Amino acid sequence: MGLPWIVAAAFPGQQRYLLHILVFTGLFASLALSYDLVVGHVGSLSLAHPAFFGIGAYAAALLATEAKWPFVAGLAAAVLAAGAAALLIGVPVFRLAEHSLAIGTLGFAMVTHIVILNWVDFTRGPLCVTSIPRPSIAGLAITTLPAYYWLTLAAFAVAAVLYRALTTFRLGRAFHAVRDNEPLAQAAGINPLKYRMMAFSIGAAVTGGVGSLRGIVIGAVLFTALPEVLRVAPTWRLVIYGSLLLAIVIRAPEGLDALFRRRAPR
Amino acid sequence: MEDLLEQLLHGLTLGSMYAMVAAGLALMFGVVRLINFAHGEFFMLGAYAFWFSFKELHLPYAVAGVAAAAAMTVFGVVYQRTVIRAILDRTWHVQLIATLATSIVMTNLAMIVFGTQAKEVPTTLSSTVITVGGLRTTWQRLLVVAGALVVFGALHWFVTRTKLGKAMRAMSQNREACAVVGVDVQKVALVTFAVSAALAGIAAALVTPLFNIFPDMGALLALKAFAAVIVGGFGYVNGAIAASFLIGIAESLAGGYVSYAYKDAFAFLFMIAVLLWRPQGLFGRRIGI
Amino acid sequence: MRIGLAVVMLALAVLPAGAQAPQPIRVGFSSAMSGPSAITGEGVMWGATMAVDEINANGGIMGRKVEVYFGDNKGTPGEAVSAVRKLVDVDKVDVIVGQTHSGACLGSMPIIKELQVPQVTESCSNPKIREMSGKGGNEWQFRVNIDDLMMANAFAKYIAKNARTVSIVAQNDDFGRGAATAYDAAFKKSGIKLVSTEFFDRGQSDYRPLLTRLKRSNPESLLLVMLANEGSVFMRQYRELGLNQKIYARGSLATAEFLGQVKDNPSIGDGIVEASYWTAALDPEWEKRWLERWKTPVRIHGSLAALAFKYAVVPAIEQAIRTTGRADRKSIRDALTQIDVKDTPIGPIKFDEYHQAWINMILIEMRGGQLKIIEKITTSPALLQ
Repeated sequence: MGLPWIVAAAFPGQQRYLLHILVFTGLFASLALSYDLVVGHVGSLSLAHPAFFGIGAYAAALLATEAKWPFVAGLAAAVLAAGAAALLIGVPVFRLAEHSLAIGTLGFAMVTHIVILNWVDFTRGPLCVTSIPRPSIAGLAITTLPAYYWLTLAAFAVAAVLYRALTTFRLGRAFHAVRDNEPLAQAAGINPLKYRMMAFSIGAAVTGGVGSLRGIVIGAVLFTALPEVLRVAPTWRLVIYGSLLLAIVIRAPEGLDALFRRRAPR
Repeated sequence: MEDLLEQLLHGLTLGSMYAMVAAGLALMFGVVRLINFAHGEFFMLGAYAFWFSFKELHLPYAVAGVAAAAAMTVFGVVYQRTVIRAILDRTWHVQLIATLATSIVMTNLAMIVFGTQAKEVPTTLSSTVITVGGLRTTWQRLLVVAGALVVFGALHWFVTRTKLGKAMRAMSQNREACAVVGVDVQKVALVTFAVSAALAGIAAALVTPLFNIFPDMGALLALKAFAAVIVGGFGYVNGAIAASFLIGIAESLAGGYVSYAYKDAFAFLFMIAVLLWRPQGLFGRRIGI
Repeated sequence: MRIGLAVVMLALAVLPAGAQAPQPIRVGFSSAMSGPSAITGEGVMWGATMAVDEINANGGIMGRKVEVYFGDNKGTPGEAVSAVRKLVDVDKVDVIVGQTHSGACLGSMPIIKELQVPQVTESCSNPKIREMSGKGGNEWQFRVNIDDLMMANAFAKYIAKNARTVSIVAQNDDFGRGAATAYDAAFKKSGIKLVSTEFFDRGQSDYRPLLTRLKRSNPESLLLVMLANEGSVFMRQYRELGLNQKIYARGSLATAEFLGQVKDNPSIGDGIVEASYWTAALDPEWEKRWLERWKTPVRIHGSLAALAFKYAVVPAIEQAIRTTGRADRKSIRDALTQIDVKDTPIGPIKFDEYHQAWINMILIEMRGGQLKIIEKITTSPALLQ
């Protein structure tokens, strides 16, 4: 993953911003992997994924700020919380047919969002959970941006390994959400508005290549980096982003990876 | 008691709005099996078309309403010819992402073209307060409900009495058979989109004088319309309409008596509860619109 | 011969370092340029552009041109971090004005500290910002506007003269929630009974169930915490229902924006008294220039951003150049702690030890399509009690 050094050399003085983008890219890539397990490998269109991300994120953040739990414990709690939530709604909801599943899970996501937003005594609602302490693993404090980058990479590697393992065994249970990488959201405040992020994750997963690890990485890079690059055109950037998503999905329904594979000489 | 009547009238108004949007959604799904995640933006676009006709071109209210419906009909045709044709035969994952992407483009284009400041379109009907049996309301609210009923009556007549409408019904029940029998599948699909879009335009013209117009307005509305379509039994238009009214009333009652902040959560919980009780929708696994 | 010529040309190119044009000063403005609060960012963009153009037309700051850059925080803390990083790492700004929204501001504070760039906030009204800035806290954060704790204490005293019970109707975001908490406490201190608090999500324009609830709980007065976009629709439906409480507001109801929304029937806004720190009447020339240039009613957030720039940032940069010869991030930060601008449309701007300026609070009454300042209150730390 020497990519950042190459890119950083091309844009001197902007290394920090690039690393910042890459941290988020790694985050979304991990998210997309977990999402792909449900959509790509089990074939169920679950729209509840952002809710799991949010539940995990809030579990970790609230435990870190209110109960002063250390990072690794918070991470474990986040994983468990998201997994438990998934089990809880997964059991009844997986009885539903395709489209009902989509709306049922979407309804769950909406309800979760509304509850998190309004249960201010517990989650602080729109004021968000801020001043979340930086992570420290086994005494190693992660405070600088490059350190975050390595952490993201490590987390992504774990996610990728799990992804490979699970897809090889074709497991199809609701609690794939266990994979979510919430602690990375601790780089910034945590915010309840997760719905549009779903578009990023879905976009990454689908365009990346349904079922392809490399494709998902490509998709994640494209869809995280692209809005940042497009910051030069603030009002137009979402229009460009949407148009690109549309074009890709129509032209390469099997995902970007298939598109590249087709191009490579065989 | 007066309180309850007030909430019910209000729920009917909301329900009418959801129903007109949901009917269009159900039509699209029923006839061409397409999930259109950009349908909320149809409503938004219809609203801006109405605003433009009413406020900028200074057309009288009824004419502006017809103009909005006409503009949306054209848009529906364009949408079908461009976006939909490309994704009609793909998996629903692709349809979802494609229409979601279109919705992002449309919302942000609207922000650029029309600006972020909300537009208001008050009419004499919405500004004059009347008292109906102790309730204070405006003609506009009654117009919304009446208008919705008229529109549904017309839709029903269209689908059961006209050749095109009957072709739409046939397609929704068995597409392959239709092609074999010589039904012009492409034309029927086009008409379906035109009708769906027009419905959104009419809904916007009826409802926006009560509220206001801004680029994001379609998002939450679309979700509730989706909920209605599924609860009503996928692709069954009358079911979607009935479910819409139920959702509108549930939301209004929840907002008035339980908690205004959580009222949307109640609408969705209601929907989830129905789905769990009857996974194939309130009216069973009906086939066809 | 050729080499000689080349050397001379090289020397000529390199030598006149002393006669170089002075470096421009880069100012970044961060606000919600997209997303549901995009209307505030739009205003900030217009206000900032106009203010910077006017400064440059007058020769810039001590002969140095100002370059303006924009960051999009989408009104959220997470995006605020990205916006700050973009402004600092990519645009290389010397100072940031804005965030506009409390959540975004709070989210940005750790990053401005890490990147060591001064930030002057123009309208974030959460009390925590003051608590966490300046002495013992974030040395890079400065705030021009007064916050909801100070305003609530003053406003509650005013409301207590006319009403004994009140209901709060607030938008469900960082601004609304923060204000509701502050007013809850302030009402208790002034002996006003808070009958109910209702929150609504912005962007869903149907207030009838909420209004029916208000009718039931029957308070003497209402405190509306909302912006013009939602306020105009709310007031229309309020009048439809025939309710007649005394209406107090905190947000942007008594503004040209609101009156623009209800121009078909301006009486919809009659009687509303709003607590604020800016209104167009404080600077009619600015409003005129705004109308001429942007052809829309003047915007509050844009005007505040312009004021923060003109009366805090510009004097600080001047001071920095005078004392240190440079206008870099640290010298601007140091200068900000020392400026003392007595005469501005919004009151005196001098940052105290918590980097808080104590500008004036005004009460504006809207009636018959007109806005009138009915009271001007000078503020001070005494208002924190």
